[in-house]
Amino acid sequence: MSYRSVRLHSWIVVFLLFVIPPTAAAAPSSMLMTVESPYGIEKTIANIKQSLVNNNFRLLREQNVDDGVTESVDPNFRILYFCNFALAYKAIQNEKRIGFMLPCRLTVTKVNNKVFIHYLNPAFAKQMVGGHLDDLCDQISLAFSNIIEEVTM
Amino acid sequence: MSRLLLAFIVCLLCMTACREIEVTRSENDFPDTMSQIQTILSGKGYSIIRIQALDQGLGKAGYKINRYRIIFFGKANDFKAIQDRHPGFTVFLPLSVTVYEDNGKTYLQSMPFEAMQDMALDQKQVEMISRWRTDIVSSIHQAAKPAF
Repeated sequence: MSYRSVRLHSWIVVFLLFVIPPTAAAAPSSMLMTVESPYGIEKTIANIKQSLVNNNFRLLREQNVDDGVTESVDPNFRILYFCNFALAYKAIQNEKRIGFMLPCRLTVTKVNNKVFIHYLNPAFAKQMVGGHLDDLCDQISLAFSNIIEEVTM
Repeated sequence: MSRLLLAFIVCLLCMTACREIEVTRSENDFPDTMSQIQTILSGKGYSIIRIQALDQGLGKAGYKINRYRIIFFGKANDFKAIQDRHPGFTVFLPLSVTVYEDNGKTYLQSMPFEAMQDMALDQKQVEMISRWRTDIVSSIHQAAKPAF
């Protein structure tokens, strides 16, 4: 193997190690987060409301997922919208295109007698609008992790 | 070999670029754009569920921003299909379009449908998201055109 070939292969290894992993880490399949709750749907929602307060978020609204599109709503699919005004303000000031992630939300579902909490990984915002929201996304990711941990413990 | 590597990098960059979110500058003012987009979406069979006035909410909390509204909407059959088959995908419901002001201009923004399609779990869901994309992207372009 020639020196040139070795050098080229070294670059490929560097590329695979440092360029591919961040891309793979943002794989779309890892953006939909689902966590099973050990509690019933009402208790899970009550825990979320308490945990939001503990983590400096304000509950904006609680609704059924299908409110407004049908009269026969399914109460086993609920959304909780919440906001930390300072973080939302910072996000919009830095990136106007962040609207698809706002307000923050958690969806709680009851399927086959199991209760799940679903949310969009805040890293999805980084993937969509670029790296200038890194710190903010990390901060929100941490808050989401704390909330999920508190709710399900 | 180096050409192959270069081609690979270009492909990766293209894949990233393809996931961009559709943003369109409106030729109408903010109120007309808001009115137009709701009329157009309703005309395509979507129920307008609610308008989140983020600028007003943040304003009450002491954070002043330009007008920034999120319109939530959807179709009952789509909701039912997702609730029945892919409950985790309800994080994307209701669907939304964001309308905001920046430097005196009004913009409409769709959801990141291509990235959502990548998360789809079966072909029916891919087709549903594709339909949303066609409907909503065409709606924001239509709403951006002069009202009269």
